[in-house]
Amino acid sequence: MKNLSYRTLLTAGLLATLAGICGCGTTVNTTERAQPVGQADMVDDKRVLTDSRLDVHARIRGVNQSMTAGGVLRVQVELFNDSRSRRSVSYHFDWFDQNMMQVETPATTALIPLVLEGKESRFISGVAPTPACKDFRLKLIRTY
Amino acid sequence: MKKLISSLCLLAMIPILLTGCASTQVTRVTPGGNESLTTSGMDIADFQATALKMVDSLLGANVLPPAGTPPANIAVSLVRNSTSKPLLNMNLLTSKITIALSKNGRARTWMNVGIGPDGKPLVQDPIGKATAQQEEWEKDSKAVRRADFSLSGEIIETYARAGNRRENTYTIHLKLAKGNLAVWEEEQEVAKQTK
Repeated sequence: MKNLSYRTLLTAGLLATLAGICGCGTTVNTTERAQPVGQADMVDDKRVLTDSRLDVHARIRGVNQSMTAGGVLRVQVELFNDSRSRRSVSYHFDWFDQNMMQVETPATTALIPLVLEGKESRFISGVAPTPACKDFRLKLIRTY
Repeated sequence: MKKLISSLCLLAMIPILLTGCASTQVTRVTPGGNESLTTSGMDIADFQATALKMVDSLLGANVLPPAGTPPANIAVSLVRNSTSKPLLNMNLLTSKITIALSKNGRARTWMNVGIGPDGKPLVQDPIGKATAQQEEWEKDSKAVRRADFSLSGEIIETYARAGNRRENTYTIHLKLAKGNLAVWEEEQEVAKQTK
């Protein structure tokens, strides 16, 4: 009887600890219009996923594009952290002209750090360095 | 037995010889890449990321002439360093911005805002107003054109400490002025935490 109660207490304690650990990550609640008024120009994208964990921690939900007032391509990507923990990633946009030649400037080679809270969706955007840029590629990499 | 002992001694010597021959290893890394060092100050990766966000913001704003029209002349003015690091050279940020704008074709860097009576270049003050000396000089000159815009700003460092954690936050504020009017402003923050 003593052993049983000791075992029961130990099991209950372990379960409580596990529950505490699992519930530790802070996650994000959101609210928005049920019927968005804005019209997004969504882009059909092609994805190459080599890191399945990164796909959980920074899942690409959608890509949309627009032109700036100066006639330059702007791209926006929605990333979603499907885990319950805060995650850090870095991203980088490559830009290509109509001949698919890469266009680079000292600023465009940068890796931008990004932190996503658990279950958080964030938008990242890039503006093409020149009006000649017609295409892009987004690179994501884990930084933890 | 003797052979065994001598063999064991030889084996024991190998790691000592290897570590003794070890020297400082230098490796090429991508500037600002994942493998580059992260310090509590402004690293090259921070300058690159900040410059990119500033350029994106500037290109997205409707202040520079559109593509296909004559580019604007931008004078790079003072970006004040209000950090604890006096050797921090803000050209690491502004040069990336001006190069990007130049390649974009919408702006060119104006090398000197004006030349003072002593022959030295004059720099506009942070609010974008030309000095009285420059105005006087321009009145006498025949082929002088004032820069269309001036780029100036400030980098400010704040420091916080909690227990054994230290946090340095760098706030970079840039503005593009047309005369006395700031037509574009942007602020980016870089925070570094040390345990």
